[in-house]
Amino acid sequence: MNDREPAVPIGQDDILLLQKIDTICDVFEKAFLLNPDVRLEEFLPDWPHGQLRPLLAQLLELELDHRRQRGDCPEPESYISRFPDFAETISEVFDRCESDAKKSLYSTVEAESNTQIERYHSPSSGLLPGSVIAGRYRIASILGKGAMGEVYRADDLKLGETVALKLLSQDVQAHPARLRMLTNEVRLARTVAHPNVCRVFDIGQSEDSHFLSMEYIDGEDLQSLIRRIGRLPLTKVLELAQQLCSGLAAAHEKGVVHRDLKPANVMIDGRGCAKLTDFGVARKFDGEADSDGLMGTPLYMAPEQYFERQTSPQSDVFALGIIFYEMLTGRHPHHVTSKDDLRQWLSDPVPHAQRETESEEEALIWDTIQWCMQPDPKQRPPGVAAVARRLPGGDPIARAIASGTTPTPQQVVAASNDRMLDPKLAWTVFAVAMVGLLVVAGLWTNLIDKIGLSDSPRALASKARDSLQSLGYNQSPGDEAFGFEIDRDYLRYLTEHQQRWDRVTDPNPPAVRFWYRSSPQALVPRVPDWSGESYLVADTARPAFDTPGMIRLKSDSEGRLLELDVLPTVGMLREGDRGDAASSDFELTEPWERRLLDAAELSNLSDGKLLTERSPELLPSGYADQRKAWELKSSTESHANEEPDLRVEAAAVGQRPVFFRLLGQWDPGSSLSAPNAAGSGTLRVIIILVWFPILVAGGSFFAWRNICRGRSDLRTAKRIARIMFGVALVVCLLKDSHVFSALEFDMLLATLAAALMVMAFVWCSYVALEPDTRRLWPRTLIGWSRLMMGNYRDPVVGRDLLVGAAAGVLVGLMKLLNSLLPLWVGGVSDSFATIVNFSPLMGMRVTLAEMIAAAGFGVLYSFFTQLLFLMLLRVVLRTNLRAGVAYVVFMSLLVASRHHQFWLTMAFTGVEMTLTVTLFMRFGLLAVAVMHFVRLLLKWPMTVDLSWWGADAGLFAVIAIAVLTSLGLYLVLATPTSALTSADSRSG
Amino acid sequence: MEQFDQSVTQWIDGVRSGRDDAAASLWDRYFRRLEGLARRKFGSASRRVVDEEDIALSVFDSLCAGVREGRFTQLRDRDDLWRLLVVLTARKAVDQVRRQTSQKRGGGLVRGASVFAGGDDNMPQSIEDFVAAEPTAEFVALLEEQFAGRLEQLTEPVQRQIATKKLEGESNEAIAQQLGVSIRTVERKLNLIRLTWAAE
Repeated sequence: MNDREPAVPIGQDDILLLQKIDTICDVFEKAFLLNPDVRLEEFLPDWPHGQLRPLLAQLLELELDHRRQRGDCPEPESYISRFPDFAETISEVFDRCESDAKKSLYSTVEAESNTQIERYHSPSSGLLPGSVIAGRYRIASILGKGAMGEVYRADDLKLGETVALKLLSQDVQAHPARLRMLTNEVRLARTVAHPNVCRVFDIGQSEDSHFLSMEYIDGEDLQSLIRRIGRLPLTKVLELAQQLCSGLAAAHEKGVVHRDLKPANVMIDGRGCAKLTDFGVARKFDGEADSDGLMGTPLYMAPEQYFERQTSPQSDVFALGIIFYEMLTGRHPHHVTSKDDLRQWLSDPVPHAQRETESEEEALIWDTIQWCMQPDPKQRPPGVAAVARRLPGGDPIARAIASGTTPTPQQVVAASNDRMLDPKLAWTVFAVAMVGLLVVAGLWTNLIDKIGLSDSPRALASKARDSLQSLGYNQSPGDEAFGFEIDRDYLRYLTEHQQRWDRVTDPNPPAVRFWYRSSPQALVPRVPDWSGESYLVADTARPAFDTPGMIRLKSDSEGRLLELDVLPTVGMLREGDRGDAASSDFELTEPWERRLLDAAELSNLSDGKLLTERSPELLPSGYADQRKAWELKSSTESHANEEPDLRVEAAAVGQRPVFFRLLGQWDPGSSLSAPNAAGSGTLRVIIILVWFPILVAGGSFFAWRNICRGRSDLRTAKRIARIMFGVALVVCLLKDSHVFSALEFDMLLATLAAALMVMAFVWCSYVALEPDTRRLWPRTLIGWSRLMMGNYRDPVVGRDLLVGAAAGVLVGLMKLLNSLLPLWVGGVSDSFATIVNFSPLMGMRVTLAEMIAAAGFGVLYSFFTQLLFLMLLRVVLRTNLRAGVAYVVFMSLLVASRHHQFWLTMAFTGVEMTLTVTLFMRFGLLAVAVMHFVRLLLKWPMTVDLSWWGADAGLFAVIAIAVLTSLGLYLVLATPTSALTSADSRSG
Repeated sequence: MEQFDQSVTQWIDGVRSGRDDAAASLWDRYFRRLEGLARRKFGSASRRVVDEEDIALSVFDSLCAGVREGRFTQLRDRDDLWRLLVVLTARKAVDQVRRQTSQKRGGGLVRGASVFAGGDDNMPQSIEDFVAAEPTAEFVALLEEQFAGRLEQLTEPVQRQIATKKLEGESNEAIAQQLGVSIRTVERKLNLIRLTWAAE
């Protein structure tokens, strides 16, 4: 827009004059078009000076226009020498023409105007200091003049503060588009409240004038500052740059794009604080680049803004880059004087450093500037936060810590990546994990070989059915259940007596057993039990052995009978009474005890073993009318010490056996059903009963407190709670025994209740613990937070995956070694039971459930158990080092005390716990969770011999771990260390 | 009446000094209504001025063409001549009605009164009111009259061309190109046209 002098008062004479001038100009133009060498002088009539002046002005403008179009660059001096009397006019004309050209580059444009419209000077609102506006503001002084009006300093009489008022100038008042823009400015600017943004308070009206009230900033704008002192010192540049980033980020967060960023719109107040002002052409940005007209200042427009009228947060970032450049060098990146120049520059706007950068910080700033000023918006930083991070001193966590505040969850996510692994290290870790995995697989293969699980559960179940048939039970059962178990009493006995390893694997008697149950009705485990296989799974103890017709059978891994329990039915009793041999369709030729001993393969003994009769001592759980017992002794003396003595007890109803036991010295004498020894001992009972309520109460208290203080990250808590709910639900649904019975409903209800409890527990714990973790060790939450926010391609996440998996492999390996070493050396380790998890072998459904459960447990263990301990210790012992040591010692003691080989276990667990603590402190929560996941997975029996029936499960586990580790490696390698993280693309 | 005159003066001043005027959207709507009216009453007139010797016989051709090309939507500098024309016509109409009602008692001149939608009793108080109301066919006829008269006022044929083209909504640049002169000339002459018309 041009400001022109009020040229002509309107009167008839003036119109006549204008007409005359017009005529002369026409003639001149026609002549000029024919012959460009015509001279102005020829067209000047003999008029008074006052009339000649406007004529000359018009003619000159005309000539300049035409000559410029031809590419000439006329100079004012030549004209001044020709018309010395009109020197002023000539300079004015030149200034106007040039400033028109430049102004259109420098001044904020609101719409396209290819033509320049004659505008007369807009009359000022003419407010004098002292006048009161809207009954509330008293004008103090004028601060400046803008395109839309003037800015005054005023006192707010109501609040007693100094404010700045931006008034719409009179001529602009009546235009509703202007008013609309003002209202828009106020509305948008008001949503941004930030120390680096000039606060806008309100819009007001006084008589017919509208005005905007905003924060009064006692200082000057950046443009005048730079003009005054040139280049700014580096520290100042960094400081202001960070402040600008903060302010702009605040605006972008509210969805507001400024679109007119330039040094003139940056105010520096008395304390040196930068503030963004003038949201006059701002707009709300809703995700798509908008094109609603050419808005902004041409010299600061991004290419897509200038050429395609598309604005987005990236175009603001471009302008930011230019501002940084100006602060650093004192001038605009390019010497642009016309629109063509501008167009050319915008096709390649990236500036190069002018001189050798003196410091690393300066190099970083240049780097940032170049990044911001990329012509393609997609190549620029995806958000202002990325710019801030690239600048030296831009890590939000470091800043938060330096200022003594707790970083917010967003700051944690936005933190810079440090402690990344360089490619060599990453490959090394990967290699360690893979090698460890192979070693573990090898050890397992060896172990399985020794245990001798050569038959699958189904095959063994089929063998059990065959045994039962041979014993006289040939009715198809209503429902079946079966599985593997470990005879812990036997193991303990072996350990205590320092027996050799092959004792364990010696099939007679074995430590790993197969159990089988059948029942005429559905086997519905009505009682939930967390310590067992899963929540609601049928096992040896649930449902209770109480329905007539129920059969429970245990065999070794090859199908030899070890135990039998049958609850006789009425039918069986009647048969027994009648003395019939068996049911009609079965010929029983042998007496029942022979059949039993056949099934137990005790009939034809070798190796000098003898079966001698003795009096029975045990009672069956049901009813029996005949009882027998034997002793298994070795005849020769040499074996007597090595092999323990075994007893055989049996009973029958009629001709059908209902009871059988193969017992050693280790079996508790009167046990007929699963022992329930866990409940004994007053101290133990107290601890068991009390620890959970304490945990719940304490957790709830802390959670409540954190919520009240607004410290918690409720969003992530909700998310993780929901995930764990899903995990619990899925695991239960997959693993539990489902029956086609009305009782299934009860079971589902119980499952739902359990999942809900898990969810509540997880949520409560997260809310209670996470804020303090964020306060004490914010870096440990980086990978975790990013994953929770959905950035699963993030390199920090990858790092945690890789390192956690490797650590998990090592820990699993150590646990295996802990159990196996004593065996190789000549003893038995009773920790064998804790390193094996047989359930994945029971079918694909269960395998899947186990894997999901392992993931869930990984999270639970990592966060809740260990974190809690660590934190408590930290609070008590004050330093990380002491807390870490105490943790290691305490946990090792806790674990080792349960095992016979105390010192060995202590050593191995010590290493494991140290690894855990180091992993946590150095890498983070996510790494620890992954470690636990992998460790749990390594408890699955696996083998390199793929023909084994259970090879699937182990293979699944190995593949899962390998995939996880490879994924971690890939994520780490895929993103170079110095570049931005994928967190930028989301949280920007 | 006084108010109306006042607002008219304001508007004319505004156009004269080349300031932006208010109520851009009002004018937008007004133009479209005018166009709609023209089409209904006068048939679809889409003749365009091709020959520079040929001056548009109907100012409505210009308006219709311009509106259809979408020229009156965005840029304010394109319609100030229009507004001037309409404002002048409105003023003329009000003057007429005033004269008629002062001369006669009772029924006023049919023509004058029905210029304003709603009849004699609802004469607009200001130009804004006027623009906000529906244009009537009678007003359109009056407008044509004004236009013809105003064109007569312009002495130069070039000025008449420029005025016509401007009323069609062409930009200054386009006019300059079509006439083979510089933009400065177009601007200068436009200024003159405005002053001439507003001078009364």
